[in-house]
Amino acid sequence: MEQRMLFEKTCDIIHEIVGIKAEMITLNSSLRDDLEADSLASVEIVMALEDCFNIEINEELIRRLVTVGDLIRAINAMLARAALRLPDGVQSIANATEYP
Amino acid sequence: MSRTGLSNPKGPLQTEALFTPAPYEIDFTGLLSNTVAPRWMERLRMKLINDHFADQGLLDPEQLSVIARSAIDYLHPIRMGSTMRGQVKIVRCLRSSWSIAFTFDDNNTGEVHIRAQQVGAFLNAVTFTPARIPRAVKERIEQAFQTQ
Repeated sequence: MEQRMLFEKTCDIIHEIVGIKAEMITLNSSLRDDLEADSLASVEIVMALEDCFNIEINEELIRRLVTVGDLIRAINAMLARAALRLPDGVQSIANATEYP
Repeated sequence: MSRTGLSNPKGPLQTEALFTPAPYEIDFTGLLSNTVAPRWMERLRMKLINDHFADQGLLDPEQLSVIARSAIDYLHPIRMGSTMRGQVKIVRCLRSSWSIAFTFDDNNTGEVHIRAQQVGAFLNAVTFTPARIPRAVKERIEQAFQTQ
């Protein structure tokens, strides 16, 4: 998926949940400090993204999310995993060979 | 404890009940203690769940509806002998949380005494992770919004 489209869709979802205008959001925007997304809103954003991209973002990744850029990277990782059907815990093809 | 008069649900996904202050709920100023409103709200919230979602297991540990945020505006004092009509309705529904709005008005004059809003989060009380609102519940809420 084109990265710009992914970013715009993410911004739309953030706008829908927390009300911040999409044009105010950058990759470096902090979910909590800049977008005022508390833990509840962050969960809603993640769930909306899961629905939008038909992916499941695992708990470990969710805990590490700080910025919008982190969100985009998490989506990319999950999309890649879905495309390659990588097992849980495998982040890329590079270490996929470590698993049967 | 305040006496609660129960009535049938009014309107789609809306519930109401009558509340009468008990003597021990009146504080030293002669007015209903502000601490009573959260208890009345909780009774309305439980009634909302029972009236509209009794078959959906919203009190099951795997998809427990819990209060995440409450905001209460005390607009006018409530006195002994008043009968208040409490109403609650769902005003917003997302994937793992909903917002519900309360009003408590005088059953005789209709004057609004308390307005409040709550955000309810759904979580799995076994794993302490956020849970999605059950699909059937969400569909019922969306359907109600469309018919309003």
